[in-house]
Amino acid sequence: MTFLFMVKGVGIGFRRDIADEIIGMVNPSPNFIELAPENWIDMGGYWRAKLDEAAEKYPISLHGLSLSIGSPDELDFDFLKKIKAFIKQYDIKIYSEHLSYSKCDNAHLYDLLPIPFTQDAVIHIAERIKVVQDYLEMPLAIENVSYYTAVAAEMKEHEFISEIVNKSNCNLLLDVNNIYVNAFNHGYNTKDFINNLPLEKVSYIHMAGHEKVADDLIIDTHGEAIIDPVYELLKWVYPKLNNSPVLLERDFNFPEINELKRELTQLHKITNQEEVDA
Amino acid sequence: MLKPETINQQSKLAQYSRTGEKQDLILSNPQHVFQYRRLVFYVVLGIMQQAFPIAQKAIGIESFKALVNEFFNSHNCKTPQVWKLPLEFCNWFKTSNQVDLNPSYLSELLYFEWLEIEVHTQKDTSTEGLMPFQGNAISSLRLNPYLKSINLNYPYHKFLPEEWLSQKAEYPMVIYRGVSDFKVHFMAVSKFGLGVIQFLLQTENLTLGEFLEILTQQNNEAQSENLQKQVLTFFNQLSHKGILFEASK
Ligand SMILES: [Fe+2]
Repeated sequence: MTFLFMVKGVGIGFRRDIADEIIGMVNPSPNFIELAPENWIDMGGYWRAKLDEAAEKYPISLHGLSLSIGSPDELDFDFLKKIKAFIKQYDIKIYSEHLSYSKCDNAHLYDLLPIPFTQDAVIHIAERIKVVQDYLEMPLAIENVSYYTAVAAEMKEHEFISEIVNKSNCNLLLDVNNIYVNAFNHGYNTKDFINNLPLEKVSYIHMAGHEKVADDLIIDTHGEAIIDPVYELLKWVYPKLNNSPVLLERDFNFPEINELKRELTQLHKITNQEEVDA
Repeated sequence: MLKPETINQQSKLAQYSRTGEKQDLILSNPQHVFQYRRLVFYVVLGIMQQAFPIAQKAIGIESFKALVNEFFNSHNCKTPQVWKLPLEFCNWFKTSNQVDLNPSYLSELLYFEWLEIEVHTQKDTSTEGLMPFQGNAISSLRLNPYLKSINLNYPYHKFLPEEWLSQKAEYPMVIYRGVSDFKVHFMAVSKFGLGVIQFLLQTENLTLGEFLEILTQQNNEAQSENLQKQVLTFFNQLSHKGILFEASK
């Protein structure tokens, strides 16, 4: 039973628009599903029943939205208490969050704002991650986020991420698409960037599509198919990692389910080190 | 400890994203910072449009957008769960000066639309032991646990928006979720029916016998006989709709 409910292999984001399709998905079916706890905690009725149906079938990983680990505001322990109860209820082994902030001056913003890459922020965030990990009695995986402008940066992004991961001893959620997006938007080399991260701490991977909205800007939309260079980057980095589970993120503009299956198959091939047809 | 300058920059970026008002930010790509304002505002607007489709249609998209903008500027959103934000919007609207600037039905309409969400998403409670109401005098009367009642002042369900103000009256309504199909249903009831439901909501586990006795005590004999008949007909209707159940006491 425990083995069956491990999060490994290739999973997909569990979204309402495609909930039934995901529950009924075969050839391939996802090995696990990922969801945002904020969207399901305290919810009853139709959607709770759908979640429970999915939970019967797939192991679940959590990818949070509102913890706001990079915020100057205090941590919200009422919220963490609910997260902890949800983790227990659904026997969840992976909880990840964004290395960003979504709450400030006591107001939630419901999106991911970039944190200043500064030494004081490193110390502040590493401390908070430790507090969260202690409270939840499990490791937290922190995701490298995409950003469209750096704010008051005093250090490089990879230094910022690495120092936080090392100081807090948390795991790293490597979002390969975000690296591609940031490398394009901020003019750096994806492979150099990855080589500078603590890859031994990677416990989980995100793959997604994006949208180029201007000559000098890509937006991380999760509304398009994964592009080949992002597959290539995963193929390059995956052997350096510890067989981490890979998640296909698709949040809107949903295609036919066969399209998503095709993406899952591609990801399976990469994680099994098979040749990929572009 | 965060340095004051770090906090200041974070606060300014958040402020800019909330209001769209230019802030003194140190940015590597200042030409792209507006993406944050756009992304943040459209998340909130999207949630509100989904929650309040009737209100948006009634006052028009532009007015609705301006209202959401005003809300997001002036209100500190408290819930970490964005799907609960429409309730904060209702409460903010009720106490803001926007009430006077908008049609007099708007506050009620927002709340009415929220009730549908509230009932639809209400946490599950046990319905074990609930049986269809059969008129058994010693069983306790039990309402559908996913039910809200409201005495509307305007007929959103009956007339076009242009006619709402001129049709101001009382429109009692019950909103409830099917116990097994999870669907939200609306039922227009009489004022008497609303009174009965609100009485049942306030009392716990009353039997049908006890309920009818209270009815008799409060009215004279001729009235009560008539009322008893009315109540039983109403209860059968409620039972048929999945609103009223009974359970052994
Ligand atoms: Fe991601």
